[in-house]
Amino acid sequence: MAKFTRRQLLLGGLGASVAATGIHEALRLRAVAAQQAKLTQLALQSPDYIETTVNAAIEGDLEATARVKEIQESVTFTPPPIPYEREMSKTLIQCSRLGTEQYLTGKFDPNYDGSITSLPTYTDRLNGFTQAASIVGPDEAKVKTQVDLSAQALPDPLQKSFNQVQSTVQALAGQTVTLAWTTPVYWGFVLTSEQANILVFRGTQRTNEWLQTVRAEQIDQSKISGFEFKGKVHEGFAGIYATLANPTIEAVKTLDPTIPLYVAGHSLGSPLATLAAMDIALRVPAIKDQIQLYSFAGPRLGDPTFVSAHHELVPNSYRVANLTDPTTLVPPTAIGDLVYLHVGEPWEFVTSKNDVGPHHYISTYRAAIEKEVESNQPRDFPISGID
Amino acid sequence: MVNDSTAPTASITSSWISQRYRTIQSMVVDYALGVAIIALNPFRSLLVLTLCVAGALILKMMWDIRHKWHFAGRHSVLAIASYLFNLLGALTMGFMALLTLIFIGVVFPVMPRFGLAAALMTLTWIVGAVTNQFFLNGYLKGKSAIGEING
Repeated sequence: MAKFTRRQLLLGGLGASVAATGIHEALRLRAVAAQQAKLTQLALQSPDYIETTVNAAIEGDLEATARVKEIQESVTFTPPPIPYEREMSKTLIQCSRLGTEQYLTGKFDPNYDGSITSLPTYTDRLNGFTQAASIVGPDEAKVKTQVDLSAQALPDPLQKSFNQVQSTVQALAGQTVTLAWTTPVYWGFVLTSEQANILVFRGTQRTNEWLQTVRAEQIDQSKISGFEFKGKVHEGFAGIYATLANPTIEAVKTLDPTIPLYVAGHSLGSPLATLAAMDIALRVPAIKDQIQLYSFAGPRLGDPTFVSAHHELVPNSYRVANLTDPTTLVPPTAIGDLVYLHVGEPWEFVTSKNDVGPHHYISTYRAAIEKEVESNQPRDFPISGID
Repeated sequence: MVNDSTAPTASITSSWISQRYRTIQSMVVDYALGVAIIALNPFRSLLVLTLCVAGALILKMMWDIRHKWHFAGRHSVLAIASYLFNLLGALTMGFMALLTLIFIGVVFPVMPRFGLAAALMTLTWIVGAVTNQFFLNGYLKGKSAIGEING
């Protein structure tokens, strides 16, 4: 009897295993293919199946559109008891801009105290208001600026490229001269006057805020603490507001509860303002009836339960949207099992600047609102569509 | 199999070390082949068991390698850190082997079925090679420190 070495036995075993597995897998795949062919044949011989499939393919978008309409109509919307105030809307969109400037000034000026009176777009319109508080996040922003000490005109293009490569390598190695400092993160402010109070949140500025905006899963109250709400809301927006809820509530508690409290925000500030309005209504009941919500360029925030509860708690809610602003169209009304709806009475306008950014910027909203072109009425311009 | 009795006692020759290294490497290849055969078992519902057996064989192989190098333990922190990175690299390469066969499956549908065997065989082979290298270095370091290696 021939003697085999261990290596020969192992190689033989491996060869046999590969052959057996390969043949078995090939036969299995062949059987699956045959079964698929058989089922396909049966399906294609069934007129009902063909008709159903063709209709589903052709009418799929109609069905999806009908579902969106059905979802949107599932929430009963009652017009706000207090009419939309154009002058206040102008003030609030200006305040939204000031919120952004407040953050940017605080980012680069270590001596900045959050006061809005020194900001570029502060105008006499806000005379009569005094700043009661700034909404400051719990974290500090780390700012780094790279300083190019060798910056000078270089006539030699090769030397210039060489310096760029060297700078890149040094930057990667952390050897460049950088200015680095930490600053408080301003998220908005509270204004007060004899006639009204204003609470404003700014929009997206930092990278981690962008990342939060794409976390579109929905969470309910059991998944997050720090503030109160009903139904389910966008996880990313809720996560940001949770860090701001306490300073917001503390600031609101100092306000006169007998005069209106306008809560507003643009872009990311819109969902934050919407969450704040509900949180204030639930946690500071004395001021609940004074809340009026003005959201600008806001994405959808919560499910139908949240929206219904919001309409009940904060009936005076207005949503100003540019119909060409894609931000107001996301998240989609229905994504799989998730359902998103807008909050507030829509006040809409149309701009045509042929790009995403200009359709969304505060400057665009501010210009439209100053010209009083936003409306809650059906428009006259030609609209075509399946409805 | 490696015959430990062949190890010189008074002094170590470089040819003996070279022979020992090749013998252990050959053992590693045998382990890799064995693990591949186990991974090719036809029972698809026994993946966890297959992985456990393969993991046990790899540990056994590492123990055997260490034993063949007489449990040489003179290693610097840098060598130990490098060894750990090598093990991570072995895991990565095993995963890459799996992915490769899955991609090849786009053209040859049978190939993904061999993915697990390829991954575990690659993993075993590389773990064995780096372990052999690691303990060889420790062995050399220990012997050279007391001047036992002859040309």
